[in-house]
Amino acid sequence: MKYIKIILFIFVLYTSTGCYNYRELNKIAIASAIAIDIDNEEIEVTSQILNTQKQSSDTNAQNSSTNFHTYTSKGKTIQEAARKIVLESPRRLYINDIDLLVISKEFIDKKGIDNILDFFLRDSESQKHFYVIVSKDCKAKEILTTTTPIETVNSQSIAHSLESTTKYYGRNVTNDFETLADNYLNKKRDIFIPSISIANESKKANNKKNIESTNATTGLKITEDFVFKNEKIIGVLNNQESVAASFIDNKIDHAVVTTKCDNKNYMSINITKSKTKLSTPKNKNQINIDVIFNANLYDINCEKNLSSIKVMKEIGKNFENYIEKNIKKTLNKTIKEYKTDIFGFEDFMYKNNTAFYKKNKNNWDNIFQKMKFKINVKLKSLEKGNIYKTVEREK
Amino acid sequence: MKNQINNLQLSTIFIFLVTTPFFGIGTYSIIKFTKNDAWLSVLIGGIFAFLIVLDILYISNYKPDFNIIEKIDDVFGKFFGLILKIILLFLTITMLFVLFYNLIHFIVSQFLFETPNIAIAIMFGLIILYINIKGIETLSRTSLVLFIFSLICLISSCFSLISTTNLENIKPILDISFNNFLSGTIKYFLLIYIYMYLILIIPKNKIIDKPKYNKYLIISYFISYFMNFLVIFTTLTNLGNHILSAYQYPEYSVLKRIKIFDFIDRIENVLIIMWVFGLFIIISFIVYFITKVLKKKKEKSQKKILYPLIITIIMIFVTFIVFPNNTVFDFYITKISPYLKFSFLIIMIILSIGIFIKRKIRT
Repeated sequence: MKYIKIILFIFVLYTSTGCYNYRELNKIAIASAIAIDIDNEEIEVTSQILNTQKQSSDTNAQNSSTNFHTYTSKGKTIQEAARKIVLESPRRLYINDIDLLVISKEFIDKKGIDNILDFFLRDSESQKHFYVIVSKDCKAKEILTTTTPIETVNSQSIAHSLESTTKYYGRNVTNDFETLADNYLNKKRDIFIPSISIANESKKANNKKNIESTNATTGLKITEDFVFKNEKIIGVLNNQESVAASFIDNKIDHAVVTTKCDNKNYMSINITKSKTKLSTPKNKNQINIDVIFNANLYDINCEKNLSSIKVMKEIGKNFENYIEKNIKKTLNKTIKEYKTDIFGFEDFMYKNNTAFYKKNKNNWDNIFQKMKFKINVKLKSLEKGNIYKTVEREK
Repeated sequence: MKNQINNLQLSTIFIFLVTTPFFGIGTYSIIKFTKNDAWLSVLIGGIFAFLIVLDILYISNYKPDFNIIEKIDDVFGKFFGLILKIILLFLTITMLFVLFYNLIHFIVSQFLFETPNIAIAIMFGLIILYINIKGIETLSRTSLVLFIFSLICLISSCFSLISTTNLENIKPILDISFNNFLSGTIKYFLLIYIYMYLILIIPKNKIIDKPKYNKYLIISYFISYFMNFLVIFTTLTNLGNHILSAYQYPEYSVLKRIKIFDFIDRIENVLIIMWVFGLFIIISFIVYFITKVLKKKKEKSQKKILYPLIITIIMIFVTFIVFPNNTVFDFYITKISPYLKFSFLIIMIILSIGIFIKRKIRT
């Protein structure tokens, strides 16, 4: 018994502390982003690999190499293409830590996104909390090869840009992969994905020289949201509409709203807090959208007496009307023009007006087109910053 | 007091027996049937499972010196007792294979992708063998210690997930067909009840402070009931049934969402250890159960290593022959396992009726 115990002890000691399944950091290619394109019916996968040697303290290396490299390969499936990268790269691809997935519009038009979702959901090694974006007017691969100023790894630059856009601009562009998959798998709603394009495209885009000047010649820019109907892209939402969509989705953190304060001048507010509540009266084909927000007046280019309560109320009303109009316009565009349900109103009616939904389930497309929206936008508090009146030189 | 355990230790084993089979693969199969009403089927199924607790208490009160195997012998005599014991043995061995496969497959598929199943199986097998050689006292103490860890993991997981909870995910309530709801409820019941009966392998008289046996068992059942409810409710309200039905391990996926104070994240591998601990305890307990079924009462104590050793070797090498891959495992779980579980229930009902008749005859 004593010997058995000793043998057991030694065996467990060796096997528990050893590294049977180890993968050293210098043996794996850590991907920070993946791009998926289509090329002659073959799937083209590009992975952006962090240059881990560059990240180390080797200062001489800073001048000689970039912070990332990209590898591209093709295959019949995403897995095949991704694995083929080892033919070029000395290390095996590790996708657990990716920040970004870029899909080309062309790929979605031809293949949809089913196989992409299947690949990433099936893969137990990958985290599901990366951002998804569609490349517009260029290949997804080109997005990953463009060098960016300030943030030296461009996938991180795009990820931070998406986060800032959501937080400070009011567009909801940071739905992660899991949220996207959840919405996509829910047949009672459609999805939208933000797009990205290359601004001022030039041959220097993938070159270090692009960021050596104070004004980078080529840059990346977050552009419209691509709106889906089932698995295909059928339209776009511009910046304004995208902000309105965030209001409907209750995803506004901060946003700048600009409207006219007289016939030719403009004023802006910064929304500091916003809450949207959707409700539906029982057995009615109607959804009430109630938006309440707080804001700071940031910029006003016309003569107004801001110490007057009446004037401030007028300004507030102006913004309320503007936001309401925008929401209406966006709803009209998605529902009437695109006939899509990116806000999940069908799902909302199913969950909150179940009896009505069940009664009209078979004719839902028609019912949805006739749905009434009662929009109520209310500015709860409007602050005017450090000064009480508009700045003008005394005459 | 050799080989005696206290009520608290017994309760922790019982909690592991009720909760662990439900975590992991259990939630997946219930959500498949009952979708966003899965939490309700856990609530209702849990009430039915309480009847099993009452039955366990009833059986345990009959000849408290005997474990379930001795009780079967006593009630049904040698011949019928042997038949029932053989069936019971077969069912517990299948349970052992299912849980062991679950444990190894989870570790291989989520953490150690390139490690052969057998390497992990041998490592766990050795510890399970060792704990069984040491006996029920060690097993129950280990269970108590691991339960404390597991409880901390569960509470911290649920608290961390409160901020991302969305009650819209469980709406509308009771919208699925009655048949589906019933199937989900029965599935939950079948999933947990079979393991609950295993606790009867510890005779009531082996418990220190046995007058409180009933109270501890009932309380521990309700703690497990609440834990199972908490797990399914948190999972559903965080992810929603659409994405959950795509995942093989829904709880593990929901743990990936945890972010504490915006900087502590990716802690799912630490938190899921509660499930691994639970599986380890249950598997060890089943090996103990099978050892007791095989062992004759008067067998010498020197032989105490033999049965656990044989069972562990069978477990390590046969599990992956029975379930060579996930597809076969899924087929077994969905198509064959419910019938086997029903047959286990029938044996237990027969035993309870037998005890009832025997008591009547005596009085």
